[in-house]
Amino acid sequence: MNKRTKKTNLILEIILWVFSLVTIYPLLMILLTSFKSKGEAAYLNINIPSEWHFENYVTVLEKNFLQSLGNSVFITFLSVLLVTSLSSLFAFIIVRRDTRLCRGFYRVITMGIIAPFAALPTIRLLQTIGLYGSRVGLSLVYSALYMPFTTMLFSSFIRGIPKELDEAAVMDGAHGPGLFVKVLLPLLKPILATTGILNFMWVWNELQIPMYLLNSSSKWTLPLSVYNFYGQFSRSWNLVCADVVLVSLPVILLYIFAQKWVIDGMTAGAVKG
Amino acid sequence: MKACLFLRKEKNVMNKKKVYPYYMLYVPVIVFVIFFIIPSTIGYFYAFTNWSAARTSGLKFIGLQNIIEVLSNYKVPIAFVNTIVYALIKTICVTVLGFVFAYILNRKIRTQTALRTVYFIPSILSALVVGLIFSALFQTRHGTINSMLNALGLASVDWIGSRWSAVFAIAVAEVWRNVGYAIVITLAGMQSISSDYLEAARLDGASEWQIFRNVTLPLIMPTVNVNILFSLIYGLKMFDLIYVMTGGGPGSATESFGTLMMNEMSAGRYGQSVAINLIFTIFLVIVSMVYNRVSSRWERVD
Repeated sequence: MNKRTKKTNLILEIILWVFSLVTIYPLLMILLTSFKSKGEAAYLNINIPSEWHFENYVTVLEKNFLQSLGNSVFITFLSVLLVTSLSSLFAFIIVRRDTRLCRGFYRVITMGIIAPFAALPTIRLLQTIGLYGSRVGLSLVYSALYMPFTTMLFSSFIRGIPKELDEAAVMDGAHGPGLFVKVLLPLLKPILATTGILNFMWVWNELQIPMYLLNSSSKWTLPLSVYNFYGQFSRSWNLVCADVVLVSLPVILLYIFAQKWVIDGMTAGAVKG
Repeated sequence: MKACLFLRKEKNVMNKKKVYPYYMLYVPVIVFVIFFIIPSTIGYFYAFTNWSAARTSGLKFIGLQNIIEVLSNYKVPIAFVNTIVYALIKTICVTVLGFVFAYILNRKIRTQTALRTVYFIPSILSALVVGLIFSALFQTRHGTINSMLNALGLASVDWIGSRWSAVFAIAVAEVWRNVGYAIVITLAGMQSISSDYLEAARLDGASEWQIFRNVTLPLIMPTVNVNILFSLIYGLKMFDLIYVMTGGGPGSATESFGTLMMNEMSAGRYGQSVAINLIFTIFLVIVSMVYNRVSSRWERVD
């Protein structure tokens, strides 16, 4: 690298860091505001709080936060478990069997990426089968909604696993579920992590679908409870910001400790070299 | 070697029906059909009934009445235009900015990883959180943007108070949330370009612009295309941000299809909400079919 390129790169690097303030400033403002008094918080800036009000967090935690956290954890884990296991099974058979019927299924399922959520028909359906307003019902809807994309990721991964591995196991008498568990599953670890994280982020952050499908506040997920909290306390930015920090904490922690996996997961399927 | 030959022979004997039995598909297919296919197909039958908050049983078939009412509803053209505006602003800004930033980052910037980490943070946050952040930034009294304008000697703007400024504020929030994602994807695409091509071009004495134009750009296009399609589809489906920042208001000025469906349902007009949902589905299918034709790269996604 010659001297001129080095100099240009340094200037560009500085410009990029200046631009990063556009990302950092709002996040810093939310964090600092969450520790301010109500009066100070009304000035939405990044001044250091004159007094640190840690009790804002206590106030927020007392407003059903823990109940919603429990709901979010339950719904997210159940949905991720369902969608990854159903999609991997589905992808396994349609890729390996590869009949006309399988290809037909695959086409139908990929169209699911485009179609928008049919909100009211889904509500009606859940009412009919007695799952409306339940966390299990919501998780089943999530797994169906996110199956298309997850199945596509699994399919392209499984296509890259040599069939000879299956054949060797079949010689040893494995077939069907046994083959899947003994041979495929260990090899699917990386894609399980990728799709698991992707779906975790989707389900954890979603507002629209639980808004339609959960009618009682005792079942609310975190985003729903934060939204309603904002409706009640829109003048208390200190509390709203504390709520925002708390609801984002799990994904931020995940990002800090497993950044590579989070980025890989969230961008899976979008990069084509 | 012997084992290999043996396997090869056995290949024909490998009974697919037994090795990959269809019964393993039952559960996934049943869940998908019940919770996705049924609501998304025959579920739209409710668009042709008199279903409302006041009438939830003994529904009657009323033909195209809901569709006609929806099409003559003044909110629908507003939502239609806004939906397209949101998606276009988002897609254009995110694609262009993502490309520019990725290209610069790819120039062997020393703190590349750190910058990428920072730029990606907004993508992990929920749209609800981003909506709340931007409600604070665009707030009329003491909001960050207005404070900056005041510092420059300009008057405060009531961002959320009128249609286009509110649409602008929402679009800015959506761009902020998605730029980092686009940067990471485009950068990954650029890094996957074999350095052999770049070396060869350099040895032939190509200028940086020529390398960009004739090597980087064509090789990155498949990634960019996939990106544009996702950006467009998720942009058209936008709901959370709008709902949090304006609720579709003032009046119906910032409504998208997504929020209009929710607001019609809240108003008790269930049948009409489903009719809007149906129209929106048809619209999305047309958009993606047109995009397919134009780019013909969709199959590269899988």
